[in-house]
Amino acid sequence: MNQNGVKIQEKTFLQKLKLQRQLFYMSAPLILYVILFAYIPLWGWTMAFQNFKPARNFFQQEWVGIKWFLFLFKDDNFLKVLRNTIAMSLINLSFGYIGAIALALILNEVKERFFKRTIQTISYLPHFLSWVIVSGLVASMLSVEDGAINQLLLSLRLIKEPIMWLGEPKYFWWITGFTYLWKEIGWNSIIYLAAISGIDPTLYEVAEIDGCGRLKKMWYITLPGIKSTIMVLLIMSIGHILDAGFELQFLLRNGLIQDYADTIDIYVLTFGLNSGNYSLATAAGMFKNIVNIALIFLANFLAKRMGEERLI
Amino acid sequence: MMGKKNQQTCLLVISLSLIISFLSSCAQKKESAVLPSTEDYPITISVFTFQNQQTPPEDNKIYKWIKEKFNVTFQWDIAVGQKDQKIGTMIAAQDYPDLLLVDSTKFIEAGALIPLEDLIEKYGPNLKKHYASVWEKIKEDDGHIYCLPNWGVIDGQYKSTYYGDSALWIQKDVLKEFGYPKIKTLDEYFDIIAKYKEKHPTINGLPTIGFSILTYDWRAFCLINPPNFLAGNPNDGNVVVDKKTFDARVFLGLDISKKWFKKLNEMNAKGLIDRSSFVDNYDQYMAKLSSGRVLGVHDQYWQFQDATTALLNQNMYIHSMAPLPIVFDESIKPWYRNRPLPNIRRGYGISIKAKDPVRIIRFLDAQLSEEAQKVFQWGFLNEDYQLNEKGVPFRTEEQRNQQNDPVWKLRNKAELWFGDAPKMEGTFSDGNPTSIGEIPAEALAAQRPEDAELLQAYGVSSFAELMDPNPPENPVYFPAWQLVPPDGSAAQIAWKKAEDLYRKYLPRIILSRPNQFDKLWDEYVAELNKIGLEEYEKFMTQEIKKRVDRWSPKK
Repeated sequence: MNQNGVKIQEKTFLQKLKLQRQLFYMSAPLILYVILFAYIPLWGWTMAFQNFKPARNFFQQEWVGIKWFLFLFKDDNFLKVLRNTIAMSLINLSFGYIGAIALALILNEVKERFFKRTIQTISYLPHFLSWVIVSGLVASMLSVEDGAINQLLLSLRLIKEPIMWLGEPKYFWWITGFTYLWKEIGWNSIIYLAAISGIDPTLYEVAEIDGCGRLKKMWYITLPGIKSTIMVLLIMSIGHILDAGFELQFLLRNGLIQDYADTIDIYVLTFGLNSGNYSLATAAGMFKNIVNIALIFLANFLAKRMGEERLI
Repeated sequence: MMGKKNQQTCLLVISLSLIISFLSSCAQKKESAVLPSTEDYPITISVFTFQNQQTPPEDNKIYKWIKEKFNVTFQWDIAVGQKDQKIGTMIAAQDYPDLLLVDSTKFIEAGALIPLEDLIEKYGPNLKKHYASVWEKIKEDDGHIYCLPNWGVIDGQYKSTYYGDSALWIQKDVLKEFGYPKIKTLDEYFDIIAKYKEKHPTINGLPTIGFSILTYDWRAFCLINPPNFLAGNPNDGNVVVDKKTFDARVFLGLDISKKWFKKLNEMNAKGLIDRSSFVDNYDQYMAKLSSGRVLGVHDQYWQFQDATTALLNQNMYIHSMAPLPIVFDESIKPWYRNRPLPNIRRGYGISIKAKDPVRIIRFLDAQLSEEAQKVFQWGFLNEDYQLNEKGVPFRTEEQRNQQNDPVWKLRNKAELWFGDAPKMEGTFSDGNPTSIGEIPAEALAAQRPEDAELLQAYGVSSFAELMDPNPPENPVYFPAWQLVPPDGSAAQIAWKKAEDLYRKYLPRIILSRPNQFDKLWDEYVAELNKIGLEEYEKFMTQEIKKRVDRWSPKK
């Protein structure tokens, strides 16, 4: 961390620690936080290899090896939720990416500051709404009785009778995709706007002299300028590919669409907490995390191969 | 790093608090030895409940009285929405409040509850007396009592005019519109709804809804239960029980269910079924019923009685619901209403984390005294009710209206506590009914004119009588709905799968085009046959037989 290029004479670890103690004090709370909340709970993974019963203590638990993992991969339901999770995640990822970058590019072109600020504020406000509120909004917009979307389509005569948006499995993934897009687009674009503002303005001037128009400037200056940001964020979000979200699906799901709405997190919840099969739920959660970590390393490796910015 | 000074302060605080706690524990011991149990030492009891209610405000007069009288304050932990999730979290963390509201074997299996029978023997004379008639029934298989049934243990005489159970409910205005016809069968029921809807396509400017179905979370029993009642069986939950062999059969895929869902499917084609039922949650369901535009539902009254209150307060009482004992055809005798029965395995139990179970039992016992029960049920004399010269309580018009006002009740009644606590039902020792509403004069005065007209038209005195003036004796094992397979058992897994299946298929079956009904139904039944429901049936049969063995009157 603190390698400022100066060759320090061989010093013992303790001496170094003493020298850099201010830094140590500063980082200690954070390290403690991570140990406490990210590493110690990993102990709970042992449950995945047990036939866990809450009434027994650790030494009385029955060990069953990888029984629950085998069960998972034979369970139709789990394969279904895995498919849903990946599908929704990919949709969210691509919508989120393209949407946020596009918004940042467009906003960057707006020269009127007041207008730009207003758009930015409006577009990132939904980020602060909780999912409960958002799901309520979505449900009432899409209601078959008096939902705004149905009313609009009816009055445009595009449909003859109201569509039950939340009752048709084929719409659900897209509904979540658009909801995520709406909620997060403004927030996600902030970081790109920040990256764009870091681009040296002289580059634009040069491009202008060379006869580049707006689109060409975007393509040859702005996009390459924020490429490293894009890559880092991409790597980070690839690590979350098995987190398709939980709240929205959980709040909007119902019997008709459960085959398409349930994600791994909902599976963990229904099996683990609702029906008391803590071991199976732990196994599912553990599987999710291991895949996520593996994906991060893979993305990182690929980025390195392509000579791009890396995270680790 | 902690400075020297800080360390000293810390030590000081610790030692001080030790001294204080030591002193106070001494003081407590002294007090409890000297004072009678009603003036017991103070305690805060933390309570887990999943009643759909707000935390009572600080200045609620009954909770204040509890504090003064029993030295008890409550600390509420109310699970909103998904209760099993909350219960699962508590079990996983082994983190329990003092009192747990039980509704399944989950807490018992997790070893979260302590046995109560010895405590009751020693410290709970009122409890002992109250539960004496059901003492053996409320014991679990291991011979211990873990929870105290919240409802259905009768003291003295019981004669209820209130009907809180299942029925096919119909809006009172529908009956009024057509001159209170006698409606017995399913066909007649939907015919009259269709006729009314045609005549009144909107109610208060909103489209009329023919029939709505509550399908949210654990409340979805409204979706699957009706066929059993329509076929003349009592409320046995998910199974039909053979009266002689006591064999339990899941009726999800049986012909009686097919008949019911076929009817719903036809009614959907006619536009009578509320399509958004299948995507609505409980709040949305309640909002619809409270708007007075739903003509029919199948439900248990306690689930939606708040809607009646809401309609009353909007002056739309005529749009509230009346129960009807509907069956498939005239040859079937309806069995909706049953005789009162102890609500076994539903009520409060004391958790292993409770520091002072003896004190809690003493409070549970004390709050079961007649004096306390009168305060919970009637209120305070000359404030919430008066006594006439014969010692019979009565209320003024204003006092009666208050009992229907949710805001007033929040400040002046202890419903959150009373709802699931051990309570007296029936009559007090002075011969008065435990509920003022059951006193004939009071019942008459409190009756709405709309209800009076309806009941008079059918020649009955109450909705309970309308459902069944004289319900048959309960079967020995009754009711099977109280039996829930333990977590992780084959029976539970099978039922969980069945739940997933019916949640997925039944809405589709109801909403499909009539010509597709048979195909979808066969598909659904074929899927049901694959998931090992025999395990569930085996469990239910075994438990029912166990009850028959234990509970049959000894010869």
